[in-house]
Amino acid sequence: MSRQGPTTRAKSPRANAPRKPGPRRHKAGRSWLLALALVLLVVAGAVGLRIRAEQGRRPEPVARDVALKRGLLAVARGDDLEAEAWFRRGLASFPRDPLLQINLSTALNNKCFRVHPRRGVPMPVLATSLERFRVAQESLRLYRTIEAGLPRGIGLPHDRAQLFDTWGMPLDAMEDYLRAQAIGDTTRACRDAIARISMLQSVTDGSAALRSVGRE
Amino acid sequence: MKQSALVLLMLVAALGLCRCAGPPAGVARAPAATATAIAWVGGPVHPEAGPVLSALYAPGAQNSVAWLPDGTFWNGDFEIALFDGSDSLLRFGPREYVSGGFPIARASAASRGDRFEVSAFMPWRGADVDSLGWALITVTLQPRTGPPDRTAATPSLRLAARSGGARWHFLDGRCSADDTFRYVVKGRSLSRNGRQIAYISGANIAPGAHRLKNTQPGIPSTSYGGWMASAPARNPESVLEWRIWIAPVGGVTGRDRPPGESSSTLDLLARTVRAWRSEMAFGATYEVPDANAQRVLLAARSLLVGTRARGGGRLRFPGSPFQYRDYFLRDGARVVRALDLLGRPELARTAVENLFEFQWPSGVILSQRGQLDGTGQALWALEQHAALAGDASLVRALLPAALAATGWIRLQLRTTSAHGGPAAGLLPYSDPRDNENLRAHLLGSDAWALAGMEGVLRMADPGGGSPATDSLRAAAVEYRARLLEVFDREANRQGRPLPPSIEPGARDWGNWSASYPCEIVEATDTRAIALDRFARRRFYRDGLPSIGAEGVLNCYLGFDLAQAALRRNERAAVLADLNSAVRHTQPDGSGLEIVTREQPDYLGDLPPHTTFAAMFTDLVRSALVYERGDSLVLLGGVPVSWLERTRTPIRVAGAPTRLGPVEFTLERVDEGALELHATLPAPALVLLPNSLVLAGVTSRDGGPAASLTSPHGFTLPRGKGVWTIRLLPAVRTGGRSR
Repeated sequence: MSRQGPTTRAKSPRANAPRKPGPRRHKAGRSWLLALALVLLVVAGAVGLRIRAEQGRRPEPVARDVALKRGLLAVARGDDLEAEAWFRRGLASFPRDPLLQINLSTALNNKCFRVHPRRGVPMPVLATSLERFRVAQESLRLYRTIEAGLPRGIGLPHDRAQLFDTWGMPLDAMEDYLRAQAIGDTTRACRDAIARISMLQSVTDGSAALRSVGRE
Repeated sequence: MKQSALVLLMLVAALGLCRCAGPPAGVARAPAATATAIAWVGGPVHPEAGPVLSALYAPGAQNSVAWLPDGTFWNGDFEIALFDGSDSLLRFGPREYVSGGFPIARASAASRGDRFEVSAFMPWRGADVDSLGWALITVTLQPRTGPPDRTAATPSLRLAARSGGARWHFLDGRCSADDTFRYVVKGRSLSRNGRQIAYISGANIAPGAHRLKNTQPGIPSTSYGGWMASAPARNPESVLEWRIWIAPVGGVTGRDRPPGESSSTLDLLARTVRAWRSEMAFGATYEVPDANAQRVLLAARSLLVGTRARGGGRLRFPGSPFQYRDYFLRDGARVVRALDLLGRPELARTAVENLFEFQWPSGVILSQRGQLDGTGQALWALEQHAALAGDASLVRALLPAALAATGWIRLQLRTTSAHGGPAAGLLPYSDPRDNENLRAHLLGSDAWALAGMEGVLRMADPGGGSPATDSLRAAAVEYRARLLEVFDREANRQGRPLPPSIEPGARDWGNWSASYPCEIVEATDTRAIALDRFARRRFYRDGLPSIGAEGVLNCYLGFDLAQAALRRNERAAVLADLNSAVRHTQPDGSGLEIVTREQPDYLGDLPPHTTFAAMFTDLVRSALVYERGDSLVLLGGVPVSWLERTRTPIRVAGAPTRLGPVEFTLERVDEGALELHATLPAPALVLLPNSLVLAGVTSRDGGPAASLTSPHGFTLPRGKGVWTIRLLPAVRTGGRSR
């Protein structure tokens, strides 16, 4: 319905009518303010959602001992994914705990080679070599982080050696096994690993050497 | 308010542009294609290559689908199968492909008096933006012809899904972890365990027209579920069309719809063909007159450029579209060289960067455990790219990493030297868990390591003689001498040339690369010749090597021996190898890794394979042109049949070489003459098949003269010219070179 009465015919505005400066400028300014407020609202909303999502991702705090115990139980079951989750939860509350770090590092490297059955077919837990490589690098970085916090002369060469060993770099492993012995590692695992690598490197029949180590 | 709406609109548009602004810098943009006339061709079916399988993929897509020999579609996670009205699986006739080597296929099936036509491809718009990769299967039930038959069953089409099953069903590493399944049909969507795996569009599907069969949870992977049926056609003469979109591995949410769902199949097909034509038109041209070899060459090119996947903004090159959807230095290095040979340096550059992502803090480059040849392969690939593409900026960026990698190799050599024993001065033992099949000191790994070190030397010191690289040079010289010494010692001890390992029992593998491409021994060296003779006598069956189980043939392993034979001018052997390779390909030209007549399931190693594609491309290119020192050799591996008058010309354009791009066309102009148009970056030796004897070579445009070097060869100077090659009449009626 038109507001104009039937007798007073309104004059149609000219397309190029001169603009009235005062009130129009005021109206435009208000629109811009509204737009700005709307944009700020959108940005604030997005940031809020992101923070909430971050909080959602952050693991629930857990006591160190609980995380360690549950993680080690998972390791014993061969469930590296669950072990990793427990160690990460523990580290969320105790980020500098070396035991949690060492165990997380080991769980990560184990995960690189873990296979699980899918529809009856053994499949790697990590789908691609790139994922496995990245996880191994995280494991190595963790060792470095832990070693940086330890007194001089004490390190984790045995753990690192095992990582290199599983990845098929025998001499890199050997170097760290020897370093482990030098700082007092007298474990049989360390001795056997050194013997195995030396024999495989020396003899001309690798398979025979393997059998020989296996009998030890 | 209008302004604020405008601001919001701009904001949204800007955000949208940020996310999908086309291919990132460095990725070539496809030029606009024009014509879309589509020609379908059927390739020869070689029983030696196993049952026919068609790969559906597209550049940038993160998934592929295999149209399996039994007619079903499998993506590594779930299968979509098509049935007729009586629940019999549709059996398809010979497949046809869009001419040009594109992964677009079609076939028809006859059932109970009805004919179903199916086309299958992955719709693609061009460029390689992030995409999940939905495949589109269009099934058309053709109207019945002839007088109406009231007794005939109502034509109908059924569809069902399953999550595994018989042979060919490799599992993708990203597939759902479930072991049992529940399939639900809702409207046009088929879901499995809550994720949509297929979406159907088309005119003749009635909502809810699914069969209540296997709808309960707990369906095992081998059983079909989620049955959907077409609505009964009101009129048997009408056309029924179903467009089945196969979702990516793992499925998508129920709300997701395939991109381009509202377009017709014809539009999507035309757009996809245009995109593929543009993609294949990039880079170098290699055209050979043999239709079968050209088909394999095009399929190889399509695979090499087409399996690239973009995810999270990064472009990657998986080892194959299917079971090897993973990243391997062994395959990746060959792909780098092939991409460069195809004149796609922007892709090769990314592929090299991908290889160096596998570098460890110690400098070693290792993608799979125990594959110690990876370091040398990555270094070799970088140098190939540097030499073929002249990519100085990448060399500058990666040279420190490359030097660190040589540092790791040298540390290994020093350590084994200190340790002593038969493998002193070489890489340590390794267990690659691959075709070598043994934990041993694998001499092929040393060959690659040395090739990599020498490649780094060429990049670090292009002029040679810089004191800064003295130490690396000395290490390489010492390494070469030691490796040859061990190769010779073991050859004497094991009674065979260039053995694969110090310990007996390893399968031949990396040792076949000692001459080409590693250049540890010259192709004309007695060791390389002896290996060639030994390998062909002992391992070759049906023209291909069989190194593993009896009757299992490897389709690409012999290419390095063929390359060495080419460099010895043993043309007959090269052509036999080339023909065997072609004979063991799929109808679309796709090559395999392994094939066996006894087990026609490819032993779970489905075609196509990128290493085959890369090495076949390299061999055909070498047959046409390869580098020898500071000059080129042309036509060293072409058969006389390619030079017959009825054939199309041989054409090479924009082909990168270490000496610069080369271009030539060779055509038989009459019974006694060939015409060669060439632009050469360096002097070239042209070698004709022995059955053609030269009468003379004259420059047609007053350009530089050619010099005859033998009855079958002549040299050309660097530069551009047109030459008429006259042949002696007595020989030109002679037979083929084989």
